[in-house]
Amino acid sequence: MFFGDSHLGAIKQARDQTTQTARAEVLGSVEVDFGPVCGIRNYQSEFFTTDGETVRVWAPARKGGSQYRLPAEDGYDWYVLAGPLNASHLYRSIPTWSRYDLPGEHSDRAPMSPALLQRIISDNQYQFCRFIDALLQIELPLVVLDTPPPFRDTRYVREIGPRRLLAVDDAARRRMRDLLDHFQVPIIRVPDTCVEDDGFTRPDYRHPRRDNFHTNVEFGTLMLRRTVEVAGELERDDATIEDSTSRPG
Amino acid sequence: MPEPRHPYADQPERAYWPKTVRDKHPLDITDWYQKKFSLDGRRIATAGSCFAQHIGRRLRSSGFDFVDTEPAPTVLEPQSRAAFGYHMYSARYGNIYTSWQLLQLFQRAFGTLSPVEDYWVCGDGVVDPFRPTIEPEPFSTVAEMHDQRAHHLACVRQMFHTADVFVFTLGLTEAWCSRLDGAVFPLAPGTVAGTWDSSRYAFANLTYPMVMEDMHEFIDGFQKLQPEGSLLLTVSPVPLVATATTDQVVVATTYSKSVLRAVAGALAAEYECVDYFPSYEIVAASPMGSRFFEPDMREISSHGVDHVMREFFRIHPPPTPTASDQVANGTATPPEEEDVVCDQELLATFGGRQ
Repeated sequence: MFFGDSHLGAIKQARDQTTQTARAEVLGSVEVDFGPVCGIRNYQSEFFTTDGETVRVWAPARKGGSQYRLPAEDGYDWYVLAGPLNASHLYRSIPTWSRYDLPGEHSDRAPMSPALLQRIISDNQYQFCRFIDALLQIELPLVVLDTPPPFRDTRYVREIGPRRLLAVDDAARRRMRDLLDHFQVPIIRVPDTCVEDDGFTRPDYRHPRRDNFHTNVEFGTLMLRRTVEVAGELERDDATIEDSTSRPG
Repeated sequence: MPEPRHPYADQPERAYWPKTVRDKHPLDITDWYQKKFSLDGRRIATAGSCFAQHIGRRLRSSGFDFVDTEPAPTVLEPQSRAAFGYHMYSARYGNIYTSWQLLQLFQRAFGTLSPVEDYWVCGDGVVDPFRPTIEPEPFSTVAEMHDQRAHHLACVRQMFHTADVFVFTLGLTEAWCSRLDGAVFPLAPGTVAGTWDSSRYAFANLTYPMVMEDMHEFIDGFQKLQPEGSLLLTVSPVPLVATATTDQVVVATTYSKSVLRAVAGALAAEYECVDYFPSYEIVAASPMGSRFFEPDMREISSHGVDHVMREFFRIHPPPTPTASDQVANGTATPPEEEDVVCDQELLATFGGRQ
């Protein structure tokens, strides 16, 4: 089951719009469902509760959706969460980055210490960190879906500058990746072929509405394919672990 | 006009203890203060000891034209601002406990003082001796700290050029300074950073003439920048958490507050542009008992801060109806306990280790 932020839109479109044959080619025997999806802003403040056995998410309710609980009633082999690696909420703050230098920069802007940048990032990721911790507490089989890097041709890049915007994005991703590694939560990475040499997502994967952040069906298909691959790898790993642990002596 | 029967005959009710205090509930005591100047349409900056943070926050949230020349990054969550010295005052100088610190901040900002003491080592990094707790972690290099300091002092200059009312809360008379040039620090070297060296640093307990001299010099400097500017003084009712004198801490507190209160009164009498708001008395005077102190008898409860600010806003009404007004007239619940950054608290920690 996929759940999380609005970057799932492209993946959902990929599942819904492809023909049955193409879908079978991508998914094989894997069944894919989507839980409620909502914008990243809804995950910046408290959006769930937990009783230690289940986690109840209410963020989509603010957008007219309903609450949902994890694990879902239907039960899934894997839960794929999108959002923790989305740093757009940070770099969207044009007033911040146009007023402050990043650590190591020297201009007429205000200097920002590494500690301040880290605090900004950790505050921004706080709710997702709590959420991931709660999901691991209930032993939900969790995978995190990577967020595509920013697109180059956006007002944010124009206002903040490409190098600076990527530096913010990268610092936030690095922290979350380290955390996920620490908790041994697998990440479904964006394929290198989707990213240009300068670190931006290739423009041919941009949503047709020239959306500043979101990708198109082609990208969704790639990520759907990648998810199925990772799920297969994880199943094999699980089987290996089970096999090795069940072997006598 | 015929002569009054005696000098007290024409005094208003507020001049009489029986009429003002004796037959009233402490919360009904009014007439604490008559303003000398209005705050309407004026740009206000604040500085001072811990208690001044409450005043600054309430002024800011009440719609006054509050000067903040070093604002927090918009993307920084509100609960993290104080840890980095943002939103405490009108720039990121942290707590300014003494008149000496205030004067030297002004002098450092305008280049008339360049202290010999440059940085204090703290773990693997360095801190600014003149605001050692402004960030939760030390700066990694001296160069980084210099960048931060240069920007900060530019913001302080801008603040003094911008604000036409400066609200200053006098907090302490005890200070730590460099023996080399008299540069004064908010905390003793060796407490949070740096290394204590009695041949390099000294303790000073400011006297009335010393505080007066500092304040005269500061007011002169401020008036040169802002000929129409005003200074609103208060004295923090928060007692010392520790004293470096040989006195008992309550006795040392009484000395400090007495000197500061006397200076504030003398300056208000001397200068037309200086006013004194009695936050100290509203909290700590005998008719109030200890109702506004927390159980440790040192920290001021939010109820106490509300009461002080209610009296303040009664005389200086906020430009627009605000949450503070609603608290004052009972139509809203008081705010949560305010998180105040108090470096002096660190001394209690050190004391506890001994």
